[in-house]
Amino acid sequence: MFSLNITNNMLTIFLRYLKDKWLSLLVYTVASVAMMWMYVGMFPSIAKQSESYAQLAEAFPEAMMKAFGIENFIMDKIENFLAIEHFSMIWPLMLILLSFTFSSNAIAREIEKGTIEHLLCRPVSRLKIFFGKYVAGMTAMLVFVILSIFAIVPLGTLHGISYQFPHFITTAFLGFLFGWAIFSLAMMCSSFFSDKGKVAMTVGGLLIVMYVLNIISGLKENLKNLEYLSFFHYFATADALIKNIIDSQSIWVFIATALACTIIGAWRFSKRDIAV
Amino acid sequence: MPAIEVTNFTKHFGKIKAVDGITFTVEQGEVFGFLGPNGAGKTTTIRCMMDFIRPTSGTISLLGKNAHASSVEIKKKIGYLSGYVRLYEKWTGQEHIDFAKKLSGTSDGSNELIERFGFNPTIKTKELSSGNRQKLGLILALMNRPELIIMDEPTNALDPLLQNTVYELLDEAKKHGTTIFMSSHNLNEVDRVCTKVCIIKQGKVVATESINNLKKMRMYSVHAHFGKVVAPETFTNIGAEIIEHRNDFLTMKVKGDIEPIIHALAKLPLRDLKIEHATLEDVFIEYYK
Repeated sequence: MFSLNITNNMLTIFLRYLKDKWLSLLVYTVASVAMMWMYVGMFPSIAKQSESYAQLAEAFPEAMMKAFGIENFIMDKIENFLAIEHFSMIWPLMLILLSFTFSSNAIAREIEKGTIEHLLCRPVSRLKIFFGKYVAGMTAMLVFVILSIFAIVPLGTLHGISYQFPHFITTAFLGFLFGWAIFSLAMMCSSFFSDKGKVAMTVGGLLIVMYVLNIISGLKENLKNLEYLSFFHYFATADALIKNIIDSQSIWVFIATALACTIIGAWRFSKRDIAV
Repeated sequence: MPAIEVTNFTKHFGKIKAVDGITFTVEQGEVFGFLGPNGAGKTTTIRCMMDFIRPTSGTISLLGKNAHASSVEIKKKIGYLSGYVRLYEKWTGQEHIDFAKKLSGTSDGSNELIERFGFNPTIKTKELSSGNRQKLGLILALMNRPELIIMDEPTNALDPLLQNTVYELLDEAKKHGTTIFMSSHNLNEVDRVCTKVCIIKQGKVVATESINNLKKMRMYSVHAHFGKVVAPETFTNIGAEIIEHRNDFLTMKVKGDIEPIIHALAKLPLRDLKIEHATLEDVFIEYYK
Protein backbone atom coordinates (compact mmCIF):
# COMPACT_ATOMS: atom_id res chain seq x y z
CA MET A 1 0.00 0.00 0.00
CA PHE A 2 2.80 2.34 1.02
CA SER A 3 4.98 1.53 -2.00
CA LEU A 4 1.94 1.97 -4.26
CA ASN A 5 1.42 5.40 -2.76
CA ILE A 6 5.06 6.31 -3.37
CA THR A 7 4.81 5.15 -6.99
CA ASN A 8 1.70 7.29 -7.29
CA ASN A 9 3.69 10.18 -5.83
CA MET A 10 6.29 9.85 -8.57
CA LEU A 11 3.52 9.76 -11.17
CA THR A 12 1.98 12.88 -9.61
CA ILE A 13 5.30 14.72 -9.86
CA PHE A 14 5.84 13.44 -13.41
CA LEU A 15 2.40 14.55 -14.62
CA ARG A 16 2.51 17.87 -12.82
CA TYR A 17 5.92 18.71 -14.27
CA LEU A 18 4.79 17.87 -17.79
CA LYS A 19 1.66 19.96 -17.25
CA ASP A 20 3.77 22.92 -16.11
CA LYS A 21 6.13 22.70 -19.03
CA TRP A 22 3.88 21.58 -21.88
CA LEU A 23 3.95 25.01 -23.46
CA SER A 24 7.76 24.95 -23.78
CA LEU A 25 7.56 21.53 -25.38
CA LEU A 26 4.86 22.71 -27.76
CA VAL A 27 6.78 25.84 -28.77
CA TYR A 28 10.03 23.98 -29.46
CA THR A 29 8.26 21.18 -31.32
CA VAL A 30 6.12 23.49 -33.45
CA ALA A 31 9.15 25.67 -34.23
CA SER A 32 11.19 22.63 -35.26
CA VAL A 33 8.40 21.20 -37.40
CA ALA A 34 7.83 24.62 -38.98
CA MET A 35 11.50 24.88 -39.87
CA MET A 36 11.49 21.41 -41.38
CA TRP A 37 8.39 22.37 -43.33
CA MET A 38 10.21 25.42 -44.64
CA TYR A 39 13.21 23.30 -45.74
CA VAL A 40 11.01 20.62 -47.29
CA GLY A 41 9.13 23.34 -49.16
CA MET A 42 12.41 24.86 -50.37
CA PHE A 43 13.96 21.54 -51.32
CA PRO A 44 12.70 21.12 -54.93
CA SER A 45 14.26 24.42 -56.03
CA ILE A 46 17.47 23.75 -54.06
CA ALA A 47 17.85 20.27 -55.58
CA LYS A 48 17.83 21.81 -59.06
CA GLN A 49 20.89 23.89 -58.19
CA SER A 50 22.63 21.22 -56.15
CA GLU A 51 25.82 21.20 -58.24
CA SER A 52 26.27 24.98 -58.02
CA TYR A 53 26.04 24.79 -54.20
CA ALA A 54 28.57 21.95 -54.15
CA GLN A 55 31.04 24.05 -56.15
CA LEU A 56 30.46 27.00 -53.87
CA ALA A 57 31.05 24.84 -50.80
CA GLU A 58 34.46 23.76 -52.05
CA ALA A 59 35.67 27.25 -51.19
CA PHE A 60 34.74 26.79 -47.49
CA PRO A 61 37.46 25.76 -44.98
CA GLU A 62 37.46 22.11 -43.96
CA ALA A 63 37.11 23.01 -40.27
CA MET A 64 33.92 24.93 -40.99
CA MET A 65 32.45 21.96 -42.82
CA LYS A 66 33.43 19.75 -39.93
CA ALA A 67 31.82 22.10 -37.48
CA PHE A 68 28.54 21.53 -39.28
CA GLY A 69 29.20 17.78 -39.60
CA ILE A 70 29.14 17.94 -43.36
CA GLU A 71 31.45 16.05 -45.70
CA ASN A 72 29.93 17.13 -48.97
CA PHE A 73 27.53 19.78 -50.08
CA ILE A 74 25.57 17.78 -52.63
CA MET A 75 21.93 18.51 -51.89
CA ASP A 76 20.21 16.29 -54.39
CA LYS A 77 18.34 14.34 -51.71
CA ILE A 78 16.15 15.64 -48.89
CA GLU A 79 18.33 13.78 -46.36
CA ASN A 80 21.45 15.65 -47.54
CA PHE A 81 19.66 18.98 -47.53
CA LEU A 82 18.20 18.51 -44.04
CA ALA A 83 21.51 17.19 -42.69
CA ILE A 84 23.20 20.41 -43.84
CA GLU A 85 20.51 22.98 -43.13
CA HIS A 86 18.46 21.64 -40.26
CA PHE A 87 20.27 18.92 -38.33
CA SER A 88 23.74 20.46 -38.34
CA MET A 89 22.87 23.45 -36.14
CA ILE A 90 19.26 24.49 -35.61
CA TRP A 91 17.75 21.17 -34.55
CA PRO A 92 20.51 20.24 -32.05
CA LEU A 93 20.33 23.77 -30.67
CA MET A 94 16.59 23.39 -30.08
CA LEU A 95 17.16 20.01 -28.46
CA ILE A 96 19.83 21.49 -26.20
CA LEU A 97 17.58 24.38 -25.19
CA LEU A 98 14.66 22.05 -24.53
CA SER A 99 16.88 19.77 -22.43
CA PHE A 100 18.12 22.78 -20.52
CA THR A 101 14.59 24.11 -19.92
CA PHE A 102 13.42 20.82 -18.44
CA SER A 103 16.55 20.08 -16.42
CA SER A 104 17.28 23.48 -14.91
CA ASN A 105 13.65 24.05 -13.92
CA ALA A 106 13.42 20.56 -12.42
CA ILE A 107 15.62 21.20 -9.41
CA ALA A 108 17.82 24.32 -9.43
CA ARG A 109 14.94 26.66 -10.29
CA GLU A 110 12.71 25.08 -7.62
CA ILE A 111 15.44 25.59 -5.02
CA GLU A 112 16.05 29.15 -6.23
CA LYS A 113 12.34 29.97 -5.95
CA GLY A 114 11.90 27.97 -2.75
CA THR A 115 8.99 26.01 -4.22
CA ILE A 116 10.83 22.73 -3.73
CA GLU A 117 9.67 22.80 -0.12
CA HIS A 118 6.21 21.75 -1.37
CA LEU A 119 7.82 18.49 -2.46
CA LEU A 120 10.30 18.12 0.39
CA CYS A 121 7.70 18.52 3.13
CA ARG A 122 5.53 15.71 1.72
CA PRO A 123 6.08 11.98 2.14
CA VAL A 124 8.11 11.55 -1.01
CA SER A 125 11.75 10.47 -1.14
CA ARG A 126 14.24 12.71 -2.87
CA LEU A 127 15.01 9.97 -5.38
CA LYS A 128 11.34 9.83 -6.36
CA ILE A 129 11.33 13.62 -6.77
CA PHE A 130 14.46 13.46 -8.91
CA PHE A 131 13.26 10.62 -11.11
CA GLY A 132 9.71 11.94 -11.35
CA LYS A 133 11.11 15.08 -12.95
CA TYR A 134 13.81 13.18 -14.82
CA VAL A 135 11.32 10.88 -16.54
CA ALA A 136 9.12 13.89 -17.37
CA GLY A 137 12.09 15.60 -19.04
CA MET A 138 13.01 12.46 -20.95
CA THR A 139 9.41 12.07 -22.08
CA ALA A 140 9.40 15.64 -23.34
CA MET A 141 12.60 15.03 -25.26
CA LEU A 142 11.27 11.83 -26.76
CA VAL A 143 8.12 13.63 -27.87
CA PHE A 144 10.20 16.44 -29.38
CA VAL A 145 12.54 14.03 -31.20
CA ILE A 146 9.72 11.90 -32.58
CA LEU A 147 7.46 14.76 -33.67
CA SER A 148 10.21 16.98 -35.04
CA ILE A 149 11.99 14.23 -37.01
CA PHE A 150 9.07 12.13 -38.19
CA ALA A 151 7.31 15.27 -39.36
CA ILE A 152 9.10 14.35 -42.59
CA VAL A 153 6.37 11.74 -43.21
CA PRO A 154 3.42 14.13 -43.61
CA LEU A 155 5.60 16.95 -44.97
CA GLY A 156 7.31 14.74 -47.55
CA THR A 157 3.95 13.37 -48.63
CA LEU A 158 2.44 16.85 -48.76
CA HIS A 159 5.22 18.16 -51.05
CA GLY A 160 5.67 14.95 -53.02
CA ILE A 161 9.27 14.45 -51.90
CA SER A 162 10.69 10.97 -51.51
CA TYR A 163 12.64 10.18 -48.36
CA GLN A 164 14.44 7.25 -46.76
CA PHE A 165 12.35 6.50 -43.67
CA PRO A 166 14.97 4.20 -42.02
CA HIS A 167 17.49 7.05 -42.20
CA PHE A 168 15.15 9.22 -40.17
CA ILE A 169 14.70 6.43 -37.59
CA THR A 170 18.50 6.25 -37.22
CA THR A 171 18.70 10.03 -36.89
CA ALA A 172 15.93 10.04 -34.28
CA PHE A 173 17.78 7.37 -32.30
CA LEU A 174 21.06 9.31 -32.42
CA GLY A 175 19.26 12.57 -31.61
CA PHE A 176 17.56 10.99 -28.62
CA LEU A 177 20.88 9.65 -27.30
CA PHE A 178 22.49 13.08 -27.75
CA GLY A 179 19.57 14.77 -25.99
CA TRP A 180 19.61 12.18 -23.20
CA ALA A 181 23.31 12.80 -22.54
CA ILE A 182 22.86 16.58 -22.45
CA PHE A 183 19.69 16.37 -20.37
CA SER A 184 21.43 14.08 -17.86
CA LEU A 185 24.45 16.38 -17.71
CA ALA A 186 22.17 19.37 -17.09
CA MET A 187 20.12 17.43 -14.49
CA MET A 188 23.35 16.63 -12.69
CA CYS A 189 24.29 20.32 -12.67
CA SER A 190 20.75 21.18 -11.56
CA SER A 191 21.23 18.82 -8.58
CA PHE A 192 24.47 20.49 -7.60
CA PHE A 193 23.44 24.12 -7.87
CA SER A 194 20.74 26.22 -6.24
CA ASP A 195 20.08 28.63 -9.06
CA LYS A 196 19.23 28.27 -12.69
CA GLY A 197 21.87 30.76 -13.83
CA LYS A 198 24.73 28.58 -12.58
CA VAL A 199 23.28 25.57 -14.39
CA ALA A 200 23.07 27.61 -17.62
CA MET A 201 26.60 28.89 -17.18
CA THR A 202 28.05 25.44 -16.50
CA VAL A 203 26.18 23.47 -19.15
CA GLY A 204 26.43 26.25 -21.73
CA GLY A 205 30.13 26.67 -21.00
CA LEU A 206 30.79 22.94 -21.33
CA LEU A 207 28.91 22.72 -24.62
CA ILE A 208 30.69 25.74 -26.04
CA VAL A 209 34.06 24.22 -25.08
CA MET A 210 33.02 20.94 -26.71
CA TYR A 211 31.92 22.77 -29.85
CA VAL A 212 35.19 24.66 -30.08
CA LEU A 213 37.20 21.47 -29.47
CA ASN A 214 35.34 19.80 -32.32
CA ILE A 215 36.22 22.68 -34.64
CA ILE A 216 39.89 23.03 -33.70
CA SER A 217 40.39 19.26 -33.91
CA GLY A 218 39.89 19.68 -37.66
CA LEU A 219 42.41 22.47 -38.02
CA LYS A 220 45.59 20.48 -37.36
CA GLU A 221 46.38 16.81 -37.45
CA ASN A 222 48.06 16.88 -34.03
CA LEU A 223 44.85 18.30 -32.48
CA LYS A 224 42.65 15.64 -34.02
CA ASN A 225 42.25 13.63 -30.81
CA LEU A 226 40.51 16.57 -29.16
CA GLU A 227 37.38 15.66 -31.11
CA TYR A 228 36.87 12.71 -28.76
CA LEU A 229 36.18 15.17 -25.93
CA SER A 230 33.26 16.70 -27.80
CA PHE A 231 29.65 15.51 -27.90
CA PHE A 232 29.43 17.15 -31.32
CA HIS A 233 31.95 14.70 -32.75
CA TYR A 234 29.74 11.78 -31.70
CA PHE A 235 26.57 13.53 -32.82
CA ALA A 236 27.16 12.80 -36.51
CA THR A 237 23.70 13.50 -37.91
CA ALA A 238 25.02 13.67 -41.47
CA ASP A 239 26.18 10.04 -41.25
CA ALA A 240 22.89 9.01 -39.66
CA LEU A 241 20.67 10.86 -42.10
CA ILE A 242 22.63 10.46 -45.32
CA LYS A 243 24.32 7.08 -44.83
CA ASN A 244 21.97 5.59 -42.21
CA ILE A 245 24.86 4.71 -39.90
CA ILE A 246 25.76 5.45 -36.30
CA ASP A 247 29.21 4.77 -34.97
CA SER A 248 28.86 2.35 -32.02
CA GLN A 249 31.33 4.57 -30.14
CA SER A 250 28.76 7.39 -30.28
CA ILE A 251 26.08 5.15 -28.79
CA TRP A 252 28.30 4.06 -25.90
CA VAL A 253 29.66 7.52 -25.19
CA PHE A 254 26.15 9.00 -24.97
CA ILE A 255 24.77 6.11 -22.91
CA ALA A 256 27.75 6.09 -20.54
CA THR A 257 27.59 9.89 -20.10
CA ALA A 258 23.85 9.82 -19.51
CA LEU A 259 24.03 7.00 -16.96
CA ALA A 260 27.01 8.44 -15.10
CA CYS A 261 25.46 11.93 -14.91
CA THR A 262 22.09 10.51 -13.85
CA ILE A 263 23.60 8.45 -11.05
CA ILE A 264 25.77 11.33 -9.81
CA GLY A 265 22.86 13.78 -10.07
CA ALA A 266 20.45 11.50 -8.18
CA TRP A 267 23.05 10.77 -5.51
CA ARG A 268 23.89 14.45 -5.08
CA PHE A 269 20.24 15.51 -4.87
CA SER A 270 19.44 12.89 -2.26
CA LYS A 271 22.46 13.82 -0.12
CA ARG A 272 22.65 17.60 -0.36
CA ASP A 273 21.38 20.28 1.99
CA ILE A 274 18.51 22.24 0.55
CA ALA A 275 18.09 25.49 2.43
CA VAL A 276 14.82 26.97 1.19
CA MET B 1 7.65 8.60 23.58
CA PRO B 2 8.39 12.32 23.03
CA ALA B 3 7.02 13.90 19.86
CA ILE B 4 10.33 15.65 19.22
CA GLU B 5 13.69 14.71 20.64
CA VAL B 6 16.69 16.81 19.66
CA THR B 7 19.97 15.51 21.06
CA ASN B 8 23.31 17.33 20.81
CA PHE B 9 22.24 18.69 17.44
CA THR B 10 24.94 20.66 15.66
CA LYS B 11 24.88 22.23 12.22
CA HIS B 12 27.87 23.96 10.70
CA PHE B 13 27.95 25.79 7.38
CA GLY B 14 31.66 25.79 6.66
CA LYS B 15 33.23 27.60 9.59
CA ILE B 16 29.94 29.08 10.75
CA LYS B 17 28.32 27.26 13.64
CA ALA B 18 24.62 27.88 12.96
CA VAL B 19 23.52 25.50 15.72
CA ASP B 20 25.94 24.33 18.36
CA GLY B 21 24.95 21.21 20.26
CA ILE B 22 21.38 21.89 21.32
CA THR B 23 19.23 19.39 23.20
CA PHE B 24 15.54 19.61 24.01
CA THR B 25 12.45 17.44 24.10
CA VAL B 26 8.85 18.15 23.17
CA GLU B 27 6.25 15.87 24.70
CA GLN B 28 3.20 14.71 22.78
CA GLY B 29 0.33 17.16 22.90
CA GLU B 30 2.59 20.02 23.93
CA VAL B 31 2.54 23.43 22.24
CA PHE B 32 6.19 24.31 22.12
CA GLY B 33 7.53 27.74 21.26
CA PHE B 34 10.98 27.97 19.75
CA LEU B 35 12.30 31.45 20.27
CA GLY B 36 15.39 33.47 19.73
CA PRO B 37 16.73 36.54 17.96
CA ASN B 38 17.34 36.54 14.21
CA GLY B 39 20.25 34.29 13.26
CA ALA B 40 19.98 32.26 16.46
CA GLY B 41 19.54 28.97 14.56
CA LYS B 42 15.75 28.49 14.76
CA THR B 43 15.13 28.05 11.03
CA THR B 44 18.21 25.84 10.67
CA THR B 45 16.83 23.55 13.37
CA ILE B 46 13.41 23.44 11.72
CA ARG B 47 14.98 22.67 8.32
CA CYS B 48 16.88 19.79 9.88
CA MET B 49 13.70 18.49 11.49
CA MET B 50 12.13 18.50 8.05
CA ASP B 51 15.23 16.82 6.56
CA PHE B 52 15.80 19.71 4.14
CA ILE B 53 19.31 19.91 5.55
CA ARG B 54 21.23 17.31 7.55
CA PRO B 55 22.87 17.66 10.97
CA THR B 56 26.65 17.95 11.21
CA SER B 57 26.32 15.85 14.36
CA GLY B 58 23.64 14.82 16.83
CA THR B 59 20.22 13.38 16.18
CA ILE B 60 16.67 14.57 15.69
CA SER B 61 13.78 12.20 16.28
CA LEU B 62 10.20 13.00 15.37
CA LEU B 63 7.35 10.82 16.61
CA GLY B 64 9.91 8.25 17.76
CA LYS B 65 11.72 7.96 14.43
CA ASN B 66 14.93 9.43 13.08
CA ALA B 67 14.09 12.60 11.13
CA HIS B 68 16.51 11.73 8.34
CA ALA B 69 16.36 7.94 8.06
CA SER B 70 12.55 7.77 8.34
CA SER B 71 11.86 11.11 6.71
CA VAL B 72 9.31 9.84 4.18
CA GLU B 73 7.32 7.87 6.75
CA ILE B 74 7.33 10.70 9.30
CA LYS B 75 6.16 13.30 6.80
CA LYS B 76 2.87 11.47 6.41
CA LYS B 77 2.11 12.67 9.93
CA ILE B 78 3.58 16.17 9.81
CA GLY B 79 2.13 19.49 8.78
CA TYR B 80 4.75 22.07 7.89
CA LEU B 81 4.61 25.82 7.41
CA SER B 82 7.77 27.66 6.43
CA GLY B 83 8.69 31.15 7.57
CA TYR B 84 8.08 32.56 4.12
CA VAL B 85 5.49 30.75 2.05
CA ARG B 86 6.84 30.12 -1.44
CA LEU B 87 4.25 29.22 -4.07
CA TYR B 88 4.17 28.22 -7.73
CA GLU B 89 3.20 31.53 -9.28
CA LYS B 90 1.26 30.02 -12.18
CA TRP B 91 -0.81 27.67 -10.06
CA THR B 92 -4.03 28.50 -8.29
CA GLY B 93 -4.47 27.83 -4.59
CA GLN B 94 -6.64 24.83 -5.44
CA GLU B 95 -3.87 23.38 -7.62
CA HIS B 96 -1.49 23.63 -4.66
CA ILE B 97 -4.04 21.91 -2.44
CA ASP B 98 -4.73 19.14 -4.96
CA PHE B 99 -1.02 18.55 -5.51
CA ALA B 100 -0.37 18.32 -1.76
CA LYS B 101 -3.41 16.04 -1.36
CA LYS B 102 -2.11 13.64 -4.02
CA LEU B 103 1.38 13.57 -2.55
CA SER B 104 0.26 13.08 1.02
CA GLY B 105 -2.50 10.61 0.21
CA THR B 106 -4.25 11.16 3.53
CA SER B 107 -7.59 12.58 4.65
CA ASP B 108 -8.27 16.11 3.61
CA GLY B 109 -9.77 18.94 5.60
CA SER B 110 -8.94 21.65 3.10
CA ASN B 111 -12.53 22.69 2.37
CA GLU B 112 -13.22 23.43 6.01
CA LEU B 113 -10.00 25.44 6.29
CA ILE B 114 -10.75 27.36 3.09
CA GLU B 115 -14.08 28.35 4.58
CA ARG B 116 -12.67 29.33 7.97
CA PHE B 117 -9.94 31.48 6.44
CA GLY B 118 -12.26 32.93 3.82
CA PHE B 119 -9.72 31.98 1.18
CA ASN B 120 -10.47 32.03 -2.54
CA PRO B 121 -8.61 29.02 -4.03
CA THR B 122 -9.42 29.82 -7.66
CA ILE B 123 -7.03 32.77 -7.95
CA LYS B 124 -3.51 32.29 -9.32
CA THR B 125 -1.06 32.65 -6.48
CA LYS B 126 0.95 35.40 -8.18
CA GLU B 127 -2.08 37.61 -7.59
CA LEU B 128 -2.37 36.81 -3.87
CA SER B 129 -1.49 39.28 -1.12
CA SER B 130 1.07 38.24 1.50
CA GLY B 131 -1.75 37.54 3.96
CA ASN B 132 -3.55 35.28 1.50
CA ARG B 133 -0.31 33.48 0.69
CA GLN B 134 0.10 32.83 4.39
CA LYS B 135 -3.50 31.54 4.54
CA LEU B 136 -2.74 29.07 1.76
CA GLY B 137 0.44 28.02 3.56
CA LEU B 138 -1.60 27.35 6.69
CA ILE B 139 -4.22 25.39 4.76
CA LEU B 140 -1.47 23.25 3.20
CA ALA B 141 0.10 22.66 6.61
CA LEU B 142 -3.11 21.77 8.44
CA MET B 143 -5.24 20.10 5.75
CA ASN B 144 -4.03 16.55 6.45
CA ARG B 145 -4.85 16.71 10.16
CA PRO B 146 -1.25 16.03 11.17
CA GLU B 147 -0.06 14.50 14.44
CA LEU B 148 2.78 16.99 14.59
CA ILE B 149 2.65 20.56 13.30
CA ILE B 150 5.93 22.39 12.67
CA MET B 151 5.54 26.08 11.96
CA ASP B 152 7.98 28.88 11.40
CA GLU B 153 6.17 32.09 12.37
CA PRO B 154 2.60 30.95 11.64
CA THR B 155 0.81 34.28 11.89
CA ASN B 156 3.35 36.25 9.88
CA ALA B 157 1.48 38.78 7.65
CA LEU B 158 -1.95 37.92 9.06
CA ASP B 159 -4.30 40.56 10.45
CA PRO B 160 -5.42 40.26 14.10
CA LEU B 161 -8.74 38.60 13.17
CA LEU B 162 -7.01 35.89 11.17
CA GLN B 163 -4.40 35.51 13.86
CA ASN B 164 -7.24 34.62 16.20
CA THR B 165 -8.54 32.09 13.66
CA VAL B 166 -5.09 30.48 13.66
CA TYR B 167 -5.01 30.41 17.46
CA GLU B 168 -8.45 28.78 17.49
CA LEU B 169 -7.28 26.16 15.00
CA LEU B 170 -4.19 25.47 17.08
CA ASP B 171 -6.32 25.22 20.22
CA GLU B 172 -8.54 22.67 18.46
CA ALA B 173 -5.51 20.73 17.28
CA LYS B 174 -4.17 20.78 20.83
CA LYS B 175 -7.45 19.35 22.12
CA HIS B 176 -7.07 16.46 19.66
CA GLY B 177 -3.61 15.72 21.07
CA THR B 178 -1.65 17.25 18.22
CA THR B 179 1.85 18.37 19.09
CA ILE B 180 2.69 21.87 17.89
CA PHE B 181 6.20 23.19 17.45
CA MET B 182 6.41 26.80 16.40
CA SER B 183 8.92 29.56 16.15
CA SER B 184 7.68 33.07 16.62
CA HIS B 185 8.77 36.63 17.26
CA ASN B 186 5.30 37.54 18.41
CA LEU B 187 5.52 37.21 22.19
CA ASN B 188 1.82 37.80 22.77
CA GLU B 189 1.23 34.87 20.45
CA VAL B 190 3.69 32.73 22.38
CA ASP B 191 2.00 33.69 25.62
CA ARG B 192 -1.43 32.95 24.11
CA VAL B 193 -0.62 29.62 22.46
CA CYS B 194 2.45 27.92 23.91
CA THR B 195 2.76 25.85 27.05
CA LYS B 196 6.53 25.61 26.96
CA VAL B 197 9.34 27.47 25.25
CA CYS B 198 12.92 26.90 24.29
CA ILE B 199 15.02 30.01 23.87
CA ILE B 200 18.00 29.71 21.58
CA LYS B 201 20.76 32.26 21.13
CA GLN B 202 23.83 32.07 18.91
CA GLY B 203 23.13 28.40 18.24
CA LYS B 204 22.86 27.37 21.89
CA VAL B 205 19.87 26.76 24.12
CA VAL B 206 19.76 29.37 26.86
CA ALA B 207 16.53 28.26 28.50
CA THR B 208 13.82 25.65 28.23
CA GLU B 209 10.95 26.56 30.51
CA SER B 210 7.21 26.43 30.80
CA ILE B 211 5.51 29.75 30.12
CA ASN B 212 4.25 29.83 33.70
CA ASN B 213 7.75 29.43 35.10
CA LEU B 214 9.04 32.19 32.87
CA LYS B 215 6.30 34.49 34.09
CA LYS B 216 7.26 33.70 37.65
CA MET B 217 10.83 34.78 37.10
CA ARG B 218 11.76 37.47 39.56
CA MET B 219 12.16 40.45 37.31
CA TYR B 220 10.71 43.84 38.05
CA SER B 221 10.30 47.18 36.39
CA VAL B 222 10.59 50.08 38.83
CA HIS B 223 9.37 53.57 37.88
CA ALA B 224 10.25 56.18 40.52
CA HIS B 225 9.55 59.93 40.61
CA PHE B 226 11.67 61.63 43.28
CA GLY B 227 11.42 64.96 45.01
CA LYS B 228 14.97 65.78 43.97
CA VAL B 229 17.59 64.77 41.40
CA VAL B 230 18.94 61.33 42.23
CA ALA B 231 22.23 59.84 41.08
CA PRO B 232 21.59 56.59 39.19
CA GLU B 233 24.64 55.02 40.87
CA THR B 234 22.53 54.78 44.03
CA PHE B 235 20.72 51.91 42.32
CA THR B 236 23.24 50.54 39.83
CA ASN B 237 25.59 49.84 42.74
CA ILE B 238 23.02 47.45 44.18
CA GLY B 239 22.28 45.58 40.96
CA ALA B 240 19.61 47.59 39.14
CA GLU B 241 19.82 48.35 35.46
CA ILE B 242 18.82 51.89 34.55
CA ILE B 243 16.45 52.02 31.60
CA GLU B 244 15.64 55.73 31.68
CA HIS B 245 16.98 58.61 33.77
CA ARG B 246 15.57 62.11 33.49
CA ASN B 247 16.38 64.55 36.35
CA ASP B 248 14.08 63.40 39.13
CA PHE B 249 12.59 60.48 37.20
CA LEU B 250 14.09 57.00 37.01
CA THR B 251 13.04 53.74 35.37
CA MET B 252 15.06 50.67 36.19
CA LYS B 253 14.98 46.93 35.79
CA VAL B 254 15.68 44.69 38.75
CA LYS B 255 16.54 41.02 38.53
CA GLY B 256 16.34 38.75 41.57
CA ASP B 257 15.88 40.14 45.08
CA ILE B 258 14.14 43.54 45.08
CA GLU B 259 14.55 44.18 48.82
CA PRO B 260 17.80 46.24 48.60
CA ILE B 261 16.16 48.47 46.00
CA ILE B 262 13.12 49.05 48.19
CA HIS B 263 15.38 49.95 51.10
CA ALA B 264 17.28 52.42 48.91
CA LEU B 265 14.02 53.91 47.64
CA ALA B 266 12.70 54.33 51.20
CA LYS B 267 15.63 56.60 52.06
CA LEU B 268 14.78 59.01 49.23
CA PRO B 269 11.97 61.59 48.92
CA LEU B 270 9.48 59.84 46.64
CA ARG B 271 6.65 61.60 44.83
CA ASP B 272 5.42 58.53 43.01
CA LEU B 273 6.42 54.89 42.73
CA LYS B 274 5.33 52.00 40.54
CA ILE B 275 6.82 48.51 40.84
CA GLU B 276 5.55 45.83 38.47
CA HIS B 277 6.52 42.31 37.48
CA ALA B 278 8.38 42.28 34.20
CA THR B 279 6.33 41.26 31.18
CA LEU B 280 7.07 38.08 29.23
CA GLU B 281 8.60 40.34 26.62
CA ASP B 282 11.04 41.74 29.17
CA VAL B 283 11.98 38.19 30.18
CA PHE B 284 12.63 37.16 26.57
CA ILE B 285 14.61 40.29 25.83
CA GLU B 286 16.73 39.48 28.85
CA TYR B 287 17.52 36.08 27.35
CA TYR B 288 18.02 37.49 23.88
CA LYS B 289 20.62 40.01 25.05
